[in-house]
Amino acid sequence: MKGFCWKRWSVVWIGVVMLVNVYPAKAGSPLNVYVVNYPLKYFAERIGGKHVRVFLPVPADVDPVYWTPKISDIGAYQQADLILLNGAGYAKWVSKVSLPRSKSVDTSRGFKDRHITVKETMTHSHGAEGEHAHEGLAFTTWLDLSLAAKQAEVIANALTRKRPQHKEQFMANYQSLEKDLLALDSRIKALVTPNHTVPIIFSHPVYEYFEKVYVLNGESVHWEPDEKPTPSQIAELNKIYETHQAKWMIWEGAPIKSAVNVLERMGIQSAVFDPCGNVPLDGDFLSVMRQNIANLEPVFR
Amino acid sequence: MLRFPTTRCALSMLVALAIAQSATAHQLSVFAWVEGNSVLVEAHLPKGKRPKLGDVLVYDGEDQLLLKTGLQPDGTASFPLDHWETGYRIVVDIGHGHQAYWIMTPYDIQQQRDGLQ
Repeated sequence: MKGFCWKRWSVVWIGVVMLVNVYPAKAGSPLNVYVVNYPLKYFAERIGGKHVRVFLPVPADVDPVYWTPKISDIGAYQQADLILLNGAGYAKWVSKVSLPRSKSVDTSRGFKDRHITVKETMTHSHGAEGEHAHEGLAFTTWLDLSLAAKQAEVIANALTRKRPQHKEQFMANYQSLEKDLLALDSRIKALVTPNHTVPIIFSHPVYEYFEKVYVLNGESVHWEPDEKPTPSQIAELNKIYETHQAKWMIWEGAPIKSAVNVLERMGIQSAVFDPCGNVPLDGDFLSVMRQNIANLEPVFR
Repeated sequence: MLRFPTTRCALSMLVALAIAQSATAHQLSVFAWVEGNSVLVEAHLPKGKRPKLGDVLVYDGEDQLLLKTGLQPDGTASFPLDHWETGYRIVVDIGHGHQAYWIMTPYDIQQQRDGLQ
């Protein structure tokens, strides 16, 4: 009889342990939130506070857009309480796995009409199609800081649906974040608007939303900050320069000296505007954006 | 996780893939699912085209190559559902730098085996 009870209780206990593992976030415990880039992580942490644990499993030196997850990473996303997606084709891996729809939130879906379709300027040739270009959506939506605020609002609503008892806190935190984002937006507008027609070159085609909302006069090339530009890249820039005489190139990260030298010989200076797609080495989303604005001052003054 | 019969899920995923492809020209995509004791793989190109040739490489959760096979002329492949405990990463390589993958976690496989996904 005694042995039977132990056996029965051990079965119950195993069941309880399994339930705890299957349903990791009970009403009182922090929500496990998995995100696809750093801006969403920052927004979710600001809004969720102590009620969330936010995970971005992309290594620090990898661009989250082109990250290839491990199977175990996808397992972790599947077990999350909430999955925050950027949408607009961001994080190519999302279309190569099966994520639970009931837990997934596309934070840019609400402004699909403001998504920007791009045609890659770099064409290539192979197969029966001959030379062709690739099309897709521009995905760095948060570089239009008013859109970033909309994405933050979607996050606040998603967290509220999961934890309605914290609605007041989430909404207060969201409003504080929105204020910060819109203040940055105003600072950029104040800086660039008087000289927004100044021709500039973007080192990579990732500034489409930034360019559109602040009505900038930019052309993009495909240069990497940590690589010396090749003769064909320099030729491409020279061709653009014939009709677009920019004095500044805007980089995603600090460029190596040899690239800076090449540009200086053409009379082009370098400035960094970090899109901040992954966790910054120092500071946070707001401090990186403030530094970006400071870096833009000599460009537009 | 949605509780769909396997075939309905497969069909809805294929429709989703077709929609996604229309937005991005010249993109290879891969989808795989469990059917009985096999894993079925389909590779797609935009505009309803299927690659006729290509390698299919199947990796486990430790990124060890489990098997290598080829695409059939209709852009499909299959392999037995073995050693699936750590999941599969299925890579289709059709050359010219065009490669795509599909990830099946142990959870996906278990759900599909149980007819829940």
